[in-house]
Amino acid sequence: MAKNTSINLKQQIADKLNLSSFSAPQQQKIISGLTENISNRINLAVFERLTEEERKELQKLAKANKKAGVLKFLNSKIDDLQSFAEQIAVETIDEFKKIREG
Amino acid sequence: MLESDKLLLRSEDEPEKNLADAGVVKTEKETPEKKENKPDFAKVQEAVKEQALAIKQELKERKPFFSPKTAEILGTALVSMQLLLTGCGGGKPADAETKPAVADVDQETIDKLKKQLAEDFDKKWKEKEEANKSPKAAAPAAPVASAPKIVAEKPSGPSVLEMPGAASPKREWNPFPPSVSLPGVSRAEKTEEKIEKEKKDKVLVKNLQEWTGADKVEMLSDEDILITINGQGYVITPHVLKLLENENKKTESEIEGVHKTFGEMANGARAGIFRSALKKKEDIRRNEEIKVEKMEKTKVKRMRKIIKDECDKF
Repeated sequence: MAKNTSINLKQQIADKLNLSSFSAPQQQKIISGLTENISNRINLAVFERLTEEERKELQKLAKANKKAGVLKFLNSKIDDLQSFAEQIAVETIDEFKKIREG
Repeated sequence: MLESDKLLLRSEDEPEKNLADAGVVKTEKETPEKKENKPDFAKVQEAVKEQALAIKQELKERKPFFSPKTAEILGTALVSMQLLLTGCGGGKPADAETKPAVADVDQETIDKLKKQLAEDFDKKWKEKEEANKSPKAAAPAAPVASAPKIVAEKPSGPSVLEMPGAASPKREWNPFPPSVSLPGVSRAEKTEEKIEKEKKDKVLVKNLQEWTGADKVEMLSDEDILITINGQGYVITPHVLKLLENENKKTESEIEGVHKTFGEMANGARAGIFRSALKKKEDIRRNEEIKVEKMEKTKVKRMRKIIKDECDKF
């Protein structure tokens, strides 16, 4: 299920960025790089939103490798975390498009 | 014109084609798509790198940022969430999901496991072969009569050991098939018992015929006997048989009436006409014969009376 969803999502991003003309390994490489950028952008945005104490708390949860705990904590600290992350992702993709076209 | 001259002339006009014909270089006609892709991919890669550099610059500016571990966990969690929600993204978290589980195992490990499996298989195969070569050593002979070999066969339907569809001889239901033997009783002993019983039955038939003076005596079953006296059939049950046997065992003194009769007869003979003759052995022997004859006749009567009385009860 997760595999199929992931494959489907990759296809979607490939279509969005018009990557269909590339070979599969090329698409994979581009998507990986872009995802890393999105991840870093979200981290930066989250960092900006949290107080010093909240950052320390988040560090503790992350150290314990509790992914679910991290998400729960962020959900309690940031309003509408889902939309927030989505917005960052869209912005990063748009930025990428601009760099690519420029 | 020589072939080399031809090549020389062609090389002036089409140097690459000519070299390719001669097998020196390979020419590949690139499709428009390929021509377009190559630089475009590089361009896209360049764009990705450019964006990554810009983000790294921003990260440097924000100190102290999350530790690398926190950043990784946070990024993975958020990006995976983002992917599932919006369908945007891919990359590292998605990669982890799309890659098959075996991709995490390197080829060396797979080869090692394959080798191990092959060795284990060879080892087991050899052990099996050795066991087959010496079956007596491998499997001790089972004692013949150590335990009853009970083959539970149902009155209908195939045996549990019979495979469906397998050809099997048609057998009738037998509660005691030949393969069944009781604990501690061999087949030879069983046969001896059977012969012994047959002998006993024969003696019993003979005795009953003698005791009752019956027309016919035959065994109805292991226990019951049919006796025909004057055309009338009587079934001798074990109980009646016991009574008859007890009656047969009675001595003269026990049979009071009979004893008296013989006593009177003997006394009369002694005291009567044949007094002198009684001294002779011959007379004594004859007298004894008469005595037994009389007794037998009375015995038959007694036996018949017992049979009739018992059968009348039912």
